[in-house]
Amino acid sequence: MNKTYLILASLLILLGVGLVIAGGSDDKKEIPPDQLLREVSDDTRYITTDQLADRLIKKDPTVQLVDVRTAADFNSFSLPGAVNVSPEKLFSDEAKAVFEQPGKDFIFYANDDVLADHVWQIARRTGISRLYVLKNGLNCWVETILQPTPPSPTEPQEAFDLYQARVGASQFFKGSDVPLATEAPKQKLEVTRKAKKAKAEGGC
Amino acid sequence: MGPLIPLGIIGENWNNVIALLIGMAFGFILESSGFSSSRKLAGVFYGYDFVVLKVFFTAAITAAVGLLYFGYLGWIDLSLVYINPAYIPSTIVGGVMMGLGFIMGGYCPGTSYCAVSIGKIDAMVFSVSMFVGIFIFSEAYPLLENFYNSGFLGSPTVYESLGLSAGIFTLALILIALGAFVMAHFVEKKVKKVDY
Repeated sequence: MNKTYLILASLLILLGVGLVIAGGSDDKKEIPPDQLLREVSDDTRYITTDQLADRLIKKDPTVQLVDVRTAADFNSFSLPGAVNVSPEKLFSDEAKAVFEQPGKDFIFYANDDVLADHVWQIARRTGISRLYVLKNGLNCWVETILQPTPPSPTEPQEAFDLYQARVGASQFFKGSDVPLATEAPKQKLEVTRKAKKAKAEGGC
Repeated sequence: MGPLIPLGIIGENWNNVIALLIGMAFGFILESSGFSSSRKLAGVFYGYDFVVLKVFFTAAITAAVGLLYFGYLGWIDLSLVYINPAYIPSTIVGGVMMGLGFIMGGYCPGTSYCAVSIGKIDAMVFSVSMFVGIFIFSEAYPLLENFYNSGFLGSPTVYESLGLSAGIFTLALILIALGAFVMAHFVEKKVKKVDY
């Protein structure tokens, strides 16, 4: 066999052995600290309960809810379509399979938004993108979507529109018949009619 | 430092220009290495010429070793390098069809254009047929869509799927490649030479 080939083959084997000794490349995928800092101070990661309800009602296929509470909490109550990834399982194979779904917005939620925010930071640091946090968590979900409180009569029309939307969402998620609120109570107008003038007499 | 385009060192708009230049260089080298001959390419199936196996296997291990060393030295961020998404059933069927086309026509898509560029009629017929195939596939896409998108595995690397480190896998690949080269050398010696 040609001597050059032997030299080249030995060189390749040597390089391969070098790779084994060097341990290959550093596989850790992390986003740069300055980028993370920028994203942490940016509030666009938050999604409100109203926005989420709207997307769930419209059956938005890009929504992937991620419940970061314990499995017991998840089993007792969770949002429709959610998967349970508690913080200690964030790096498990099941969690990896969840976050590898293409084209999804991953929305973290817990009872409030502190735990979900922590998980968001760790997950974002590992380079997973399209991550969101449900603002004020499930507590806010119950307060605003499941048991909406009617606005006081002096509030603007927008508050009543929002309330109507929430009542509709509540019916969607609970399936019960929550009485629809009527429009903002209208004050009775007092009409003071002008006293009829005396019939015109004569004239041209 | 790298990859240059995803990190914005070279603008996104240069993507196609660079691809064109690399493509031309690739085509030139393919042609000058004799890859525009369908007999040479088909030789790997009949055992009289293993140059295809040698060239592509060498390219694969050279690129693998180079990229891993670049990654180790911090010259390239390997997590940003594009990895083809894997769809198992459609890849198997596609691979079998591609292999059949290769053995029947004597070219793979890239080499067929090399041969077209030097005026080979069989390659022209091959290229036109390829477009007919693409047209049929596109028209039948609604029927094939479910199968086409089935068995999606994300973008896994072979070494991760095998649970090995990148270094050990690459060393194994080098040894397999060298073994294949030695074997090809002996097969070539045994099989009757074909003139082309």
